[in-house]
Amino acid sequence: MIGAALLVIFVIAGIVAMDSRDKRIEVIHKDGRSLSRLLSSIALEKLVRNESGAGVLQLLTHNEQVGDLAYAELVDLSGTSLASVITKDITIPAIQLNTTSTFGINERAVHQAQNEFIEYQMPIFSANKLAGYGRLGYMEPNIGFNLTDVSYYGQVALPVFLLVPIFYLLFRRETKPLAAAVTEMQSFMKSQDSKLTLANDSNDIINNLQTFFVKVGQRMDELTNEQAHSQETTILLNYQRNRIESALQSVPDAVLVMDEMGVITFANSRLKTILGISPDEVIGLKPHQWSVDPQVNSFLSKYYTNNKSLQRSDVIEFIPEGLSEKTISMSAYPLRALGKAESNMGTLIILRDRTQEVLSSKEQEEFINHVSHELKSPLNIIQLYAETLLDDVDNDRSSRIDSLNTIVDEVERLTLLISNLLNISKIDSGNIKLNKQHVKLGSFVEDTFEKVSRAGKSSSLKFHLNTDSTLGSIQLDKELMRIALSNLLTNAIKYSKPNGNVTLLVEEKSEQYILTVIDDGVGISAEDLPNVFKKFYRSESDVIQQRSGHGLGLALSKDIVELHHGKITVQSEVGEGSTFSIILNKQSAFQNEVMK
Amino acid sequence: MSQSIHILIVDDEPHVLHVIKQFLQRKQFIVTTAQNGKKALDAYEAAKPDIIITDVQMPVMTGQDFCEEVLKRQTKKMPKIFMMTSRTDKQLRDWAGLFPVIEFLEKPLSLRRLSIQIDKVLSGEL
Repeated sequence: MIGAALLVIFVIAGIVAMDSRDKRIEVIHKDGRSLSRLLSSIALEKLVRNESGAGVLQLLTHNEQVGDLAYAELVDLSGTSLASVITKDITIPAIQLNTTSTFGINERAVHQAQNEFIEYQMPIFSANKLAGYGRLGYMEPNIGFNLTDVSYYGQVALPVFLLVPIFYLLFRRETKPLAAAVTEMQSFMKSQDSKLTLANDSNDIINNLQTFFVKVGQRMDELTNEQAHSQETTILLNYQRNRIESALQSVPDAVLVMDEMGVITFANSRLKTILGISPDEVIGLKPHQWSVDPQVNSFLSKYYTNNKSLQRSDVIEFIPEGLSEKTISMSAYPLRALGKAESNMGTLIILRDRTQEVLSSKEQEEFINHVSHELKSPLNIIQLYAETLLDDVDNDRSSRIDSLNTIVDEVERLTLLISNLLNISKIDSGNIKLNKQHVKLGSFVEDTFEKVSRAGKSSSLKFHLNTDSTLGSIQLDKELMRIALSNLLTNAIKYSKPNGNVTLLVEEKSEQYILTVIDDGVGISAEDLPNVFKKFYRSESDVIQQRSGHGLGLALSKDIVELHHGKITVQSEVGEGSTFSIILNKQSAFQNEVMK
Repeated sequence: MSQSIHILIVDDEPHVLHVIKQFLQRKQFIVTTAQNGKKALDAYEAAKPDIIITDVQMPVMTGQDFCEEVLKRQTKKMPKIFMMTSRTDKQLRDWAGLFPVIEFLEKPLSLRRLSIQIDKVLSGEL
């Protein structure tokens, strides 16, 4: 490149030099001819230096702009020098007179040992007669530079020649970091992205840079496409993640995700309901940082400390700190990558509030114990009496009749209990269908009252039926309503005091019938009162515990009355007795709606 | 031999007391009855029975509480205790496991089975 630049400089310099020489020859030509004509028009006497002063010829040397004029000479017709001047350090070449054209201006080249001249020869007159010849010699310009141009060329060349190396050095200096950058880029490209590796490791910086930029451009296009694609994927993944998270949020149990280091990475809002801890309080923490329960901590620590192969799903039940009424079950499921049983991707933890289940299973267990006791007690008696009869040792008639009566009573008790159980389970499961018919209320209550009070006749109780014989009729499932009313009456007997009273009062209102069972027995405590209609509920009080019961009678009565769109109410005071009322609408609620 | 054996029966069901009492009396045992644990304790103090037959679910004082009280007050000779129960739950069995003198009689009770068990006690088998 530098060579090319120098060549250009030389060529230009050559052209400039040639052109300047031609111009100088032309100038010499013009000067020579006009000066020759001028000299030729001047008389010989005036040209020659005389005593009085310098002649015209002498003036030529004083001319500051002598240019290339080297010498001037006057000769007479024979060629003898009359006068001469020189402007340069030369000797005037010998004359070679051209006499062939005496009157014209004659131009020719004159060669001397050291110099080349262009000589003009012109005739000189004296009193209109040819008196001699004048010679004007110009230095023939050399190719390139004549002395007058040296300074000019010097001025041009010096900066050029100075600038070239400076420019080169500057160029080198400027491209040095660029070259370093290219080298660095290459190593960077090799390490980062095989697609950017340059094909050749040549030292051509510019070429390398160009290739680099082209490749970078292509790579950027590729990356832009990839980025657009990955943005789409990210949006899709975000959407799917949100969907999974919202699904996990809606799970009725608390869900926690623990990473393989034991740090909680996800918790849904149910945690607050179940453990009273908000998700923010556990995310990013290990179990011992948010749980004070040693059972929970040691359970969870199995999942991030032990040998991976020991991890399997497991469940514990615990009572959370400060929430003693709750029972929480905690299940842990190790997370594995699909098809990789050995991998450990953390643990899924599910917390479930089992309080209700535990309570109800406790209730259920108590109920079963109770029912089995209630069922087996009559069976026990039946078995004992039957065996006594079989033994037939003590075979007097009255004791046999006593035994048989007891057996019959116990069978009835058992039957009632079983039918109560069946009815309540039918009502509970919604399988009961009311068999409604027109029932004369008067005879219905009399009949029921009679049956129950007959059974209680043996006791010291007094029974009172207070009813109006003009009572109308009502739509009822007679059998079910008999059970409801009997239960109230048998309770009144069961929880009576010796010599107490049991009263059944039936009233007819404009739209309702009210059946009220009143006793003056042991009464119900304020504590028990809200619970008496609850299934399986039995008071803790000794007075009540002394009496057999299964906690089903009142619950069943309430269910039956409500099936008839009626209401059941209770008023009671401990030691004073209880009042239970069944309120039945003359027309069912549905009919009332229609009538309106 | 039977004449000297004293049996205490505890149950809240008068029928049960009646039948078992009659049955055992016919077998020449000396029989005392009580309707709940509390009354039974008094009877125990008075009679120091050799065998106790008791219900579990009873008002005032349960069979379990009664047994514990008896075992606490034991003198030189530990009575054999039969518990009549319909409960087969683990809790009661675990509790009874602590006392070798306690045996269970499943309800409904059979007089014949009761008789066999008493014979076993008397023969030293139980």
